[in-house]
Amino acid sequence: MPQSYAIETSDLSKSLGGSPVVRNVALAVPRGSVFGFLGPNGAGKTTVMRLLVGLLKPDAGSVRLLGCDLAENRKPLMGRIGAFIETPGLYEHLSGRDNLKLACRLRRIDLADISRVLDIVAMEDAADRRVRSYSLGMKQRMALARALLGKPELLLLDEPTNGLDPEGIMAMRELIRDLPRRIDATVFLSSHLLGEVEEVADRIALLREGKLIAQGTLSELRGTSARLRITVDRPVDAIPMLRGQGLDVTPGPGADDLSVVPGEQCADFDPAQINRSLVNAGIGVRALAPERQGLEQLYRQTMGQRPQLEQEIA
Amino acid sequence: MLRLVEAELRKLRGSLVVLLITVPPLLPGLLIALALASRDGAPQWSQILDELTLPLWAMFLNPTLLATLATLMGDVEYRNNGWDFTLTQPYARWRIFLAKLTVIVPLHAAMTAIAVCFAILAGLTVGAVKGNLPTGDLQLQDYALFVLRMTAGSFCILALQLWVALRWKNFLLPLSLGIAGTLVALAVLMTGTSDADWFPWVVALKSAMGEGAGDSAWTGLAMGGVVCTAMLADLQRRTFR
Repeated sequence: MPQSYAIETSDLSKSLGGSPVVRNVALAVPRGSVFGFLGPNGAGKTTVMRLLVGLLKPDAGSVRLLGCDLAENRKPLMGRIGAFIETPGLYEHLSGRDNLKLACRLRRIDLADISRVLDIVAMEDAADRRVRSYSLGMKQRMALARALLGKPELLLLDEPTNGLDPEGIMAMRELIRDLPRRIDATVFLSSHLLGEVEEVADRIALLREGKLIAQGTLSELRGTSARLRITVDRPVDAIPMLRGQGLDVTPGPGADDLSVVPGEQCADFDPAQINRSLVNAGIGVRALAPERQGLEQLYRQTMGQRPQLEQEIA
Repeated sequence: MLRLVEAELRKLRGSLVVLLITVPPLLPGLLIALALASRDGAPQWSQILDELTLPLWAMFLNPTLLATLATLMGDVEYRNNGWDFTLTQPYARWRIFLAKLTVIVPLHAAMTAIAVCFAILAGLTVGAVKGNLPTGDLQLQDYALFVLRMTAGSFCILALQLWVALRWKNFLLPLSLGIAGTLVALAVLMTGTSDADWFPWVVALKSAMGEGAGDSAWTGLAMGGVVCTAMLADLQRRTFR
């Protein structure tokens, strides 16, 4: 049986103001997954999101949502997805509840569903206040509640923690982490915050300058870049010896630590073999373990170092 | 379509649009009340309505309030970043814009009706207080017809104003268009030329009174239909931020 995708794009491209913003993006988001869409600011994430909901028309390529072509089935598809693109987009002169009622009327959703979504985002107490009196975090949560109305099969969340204070980020992150348990939907989450995605997503895609750099499960993506951390008693002797075997060796965080990855000349990257050769050379090996790669390291490795990003992570 | 119209009406609840529809149309009535309070003798209904209320409405208030109303309709979406939500609903885009037009037409008619009704009420109230009730026939059906003619004759302006207000985020554009249109119409009226009878603001003005008022109203309606079609065709292709 072929893999069923909630989102499938092929060669998706879009230029804005004459500059290419999205280039040949081919996303494949399996149904039921929580998919993290990562990229630095300006990478084109929001443009991809806007293409996915039909707010922008692609210059080339196609979008399939829930198995249907978006261009041909936009109207019925919009009734099956919930989206929160870039800003909360709530009518601020109305109360939170009135905003939800408005969405219910438009989408033919039973008004009873409002209590369910308010409960999910913990906004029941503030629902009757005007949105203009909400903090940004409350607006984000209310916008998420609106996207959850009608139990959408696909939920698109674009930078839902953008602009929030640390407390708001934590609350929103917990909320998103809890979503798969509370709703039975595919969640497509775009973010430039690595920790946020690492905590909630089971699959990720990395976007840079409009191009899809990598996508897959976290373990798949980690597997593409094996790295060992070795602690030895004589690093000065170990480094030239390992380099002689075609390995790239850099000093690790500790004085005796080495970080080892296969070099271009390395035919076989076998940790046992590396251990043997070190011992045979009379170098004491105190520890040898695959270096745990968080998404942050993977992101840095794939995207390159970005000072701005470092600050955002901090 | 009904759901879209209802949703548009819901969006306006508690917004400045409500204030705009209910307060400025009271201005002719207030002026009448002040004028009647400071003069002796009973005025005629034709003086109150035909010589003061209707010209004041048709020449100044109608076009400027229409511009403001359309601007606020657009502002409801732009100020709240509401386009992303509105345009990701399961409806064809042209229906969404048509719903906005469907809402604004009766709101405009209501403003005109409020202006006429409050002017009559002001005449009756001040007349009763001073013991000088207005004299002459009060032909209510004529004023109901005035409301209809103004609504039809202004349809083209309304469609143009709404088009500009929805198309561009900058609220100065629809307001400037309204002010410019009003001034041009007044200039045309003063020169008495018939060369500009096609100009939408002139059409609206001429549908208020005079011999060709009925024809002007139909002209406004027909031109509005054309502008409305062009508006829907243009807006459904446009990207909104």
